[in-house]
Amino acid sequence: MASYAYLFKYIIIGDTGVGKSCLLLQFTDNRFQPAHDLTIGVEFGARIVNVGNKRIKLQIWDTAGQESFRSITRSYYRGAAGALLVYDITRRETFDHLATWLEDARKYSNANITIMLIGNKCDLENKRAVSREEGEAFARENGLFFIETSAKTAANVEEAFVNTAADIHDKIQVGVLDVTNESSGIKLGPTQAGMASLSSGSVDSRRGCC
Amino acid sequence: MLTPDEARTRWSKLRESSLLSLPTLRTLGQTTLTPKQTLTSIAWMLYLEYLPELNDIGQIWPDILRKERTHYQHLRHKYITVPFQMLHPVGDRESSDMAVSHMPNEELRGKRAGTPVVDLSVHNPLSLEEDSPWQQHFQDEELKVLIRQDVRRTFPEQACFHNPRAQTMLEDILFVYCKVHQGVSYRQGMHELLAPLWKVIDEERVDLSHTEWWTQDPLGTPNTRSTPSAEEAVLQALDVRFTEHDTFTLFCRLMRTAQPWFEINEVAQNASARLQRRGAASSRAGDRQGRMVESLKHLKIAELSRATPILACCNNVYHGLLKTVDPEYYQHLESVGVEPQLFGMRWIRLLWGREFPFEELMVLWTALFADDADLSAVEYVCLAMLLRVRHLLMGADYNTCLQYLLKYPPLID
Repeated sequence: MASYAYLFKYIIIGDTGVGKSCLLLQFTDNRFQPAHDLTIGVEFGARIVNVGNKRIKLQIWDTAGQESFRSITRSYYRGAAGALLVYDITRRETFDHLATWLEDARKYSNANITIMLIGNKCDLENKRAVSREEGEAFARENGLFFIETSAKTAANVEEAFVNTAADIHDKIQVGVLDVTNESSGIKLGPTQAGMASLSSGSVDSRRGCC
Repeated sequence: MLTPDEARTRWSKLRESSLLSLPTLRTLGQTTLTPKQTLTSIAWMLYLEYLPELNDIGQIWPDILRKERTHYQHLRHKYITVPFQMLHPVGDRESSDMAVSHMPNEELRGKRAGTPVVDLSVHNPLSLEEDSPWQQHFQDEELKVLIRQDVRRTFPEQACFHNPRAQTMLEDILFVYCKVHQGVSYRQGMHELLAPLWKVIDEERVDLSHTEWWTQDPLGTPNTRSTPSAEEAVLQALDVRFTEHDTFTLFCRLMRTAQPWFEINEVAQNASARLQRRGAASSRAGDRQGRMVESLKHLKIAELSRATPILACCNNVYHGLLKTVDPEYYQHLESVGVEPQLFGMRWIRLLWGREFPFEELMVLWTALFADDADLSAVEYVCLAMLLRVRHLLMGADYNTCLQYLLKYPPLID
């Protein structure tokens, strides 16, 4: 039984085959599965990270990439504090589709969602089809964070998840995000639930288990 | 592959234990029929109503097989062979021979001499004419890329799906299926329903070229000689030349029930978004919140279920079956907020292909198909699976519940 200060909900989105499930697996289990099963619907993972001196539990929804699942995926945007938008640096079309994904994310999520743009498979430098600069430019133009990762070598995977958490945490500190509103994708953890005098119905006081 | 003698032995076992009665064979499928000892592919063909009966086999089966195989041959020709030939008109033939010789249907290569001469002003890759075969070609290629990408990831740990022969067949079957069912087209997960069918059929195929009644063209005019024996008809049903054809037909039978699970109704989704917005507005409004949200939830469930079959199935397992059978357990899952489609969509769409090891899955599918061709046991299997993990989920929080349901614990004897 581990206690934590906050629970943040994340959603991972992007085209099929860009490595969304592999990023999640690397982050939660520290392993890489080269031939990962195709995600049907959603998968789910959780892990506790440290941001500053706070323990934060990340509850991560990994979604299927195919177009036909989008209408289902959309219902997960609501109630997400963070979104990891992933493309594959070796497949140009996955980068070209970012605008559509972003449009969905903007339309269906809450306004203060933190979005991290991830160029995955950066271990495959010799097959690169999208330059780092292009990724950075897209992120800058759209107000996203940006990082290149490799789910295979684990490069930057930790950072992608933790930096997103740090930004969400900052937003709480400065009061941009309201922790009492469930649709913000944030819940107080069991350590804080006792001292908070919030409407008890919206606070999950059950002990978390990871 | 089986030898003709192995196939005969397995057939006689199946015949003896089923007493040549389909109801008995169905009962067997739900209890003791185990793969590897009998002809599972024949049992599945019967269960899913590709083959009709266990009596008068010699009379009935050859005609049905010929009809279904000819049908697939025709579709394949229309959607795969002809488009290929159109793009390689007569003048090109010399250079396209290499590619043609890779096409699985050897007999079709003979027909290419009949291709009409084409108008090259329309017939070129840069043509923007609607009826240029190249336009269709580019669309088809997109679909093929989509299918290929998933077929390559079919049951990663099962080596039998990861050779060029298997992959090409699976891709071609899915492609033809999508061309025939353009309304739904390809949806992720279909490949995992197809692959086990293909495997079961492929493993029990027989090379008949050494049997005395073997014919060069089994799709042509039937032999004038007397009706084949039951045993001969069974061997014909296992003819290695028709692995792809028979898999397609069996897949279509399965998809008669499974296809709606892949349909997502945009109308329903829009309604859901609207209701969510209304829900959000009502929660901002304050006091009336509880009642409004509750009634909206029920409205939402009803509205979504009507239009999206997979959600209707999931909801019925939950709000219908589980609520009736085990109200306390149902209340618990409701109170932690575990929605049935989170796990149910994958369970049902893939018929538990991710929940059980392959060998166990084959036993489950055999029982499910044996029960009836419409797979009406699907929701009950889901219910049973929920009840089986009750002790793990009762009292557990949201995360823990979902972890068990999305990574279903293995069965232990």
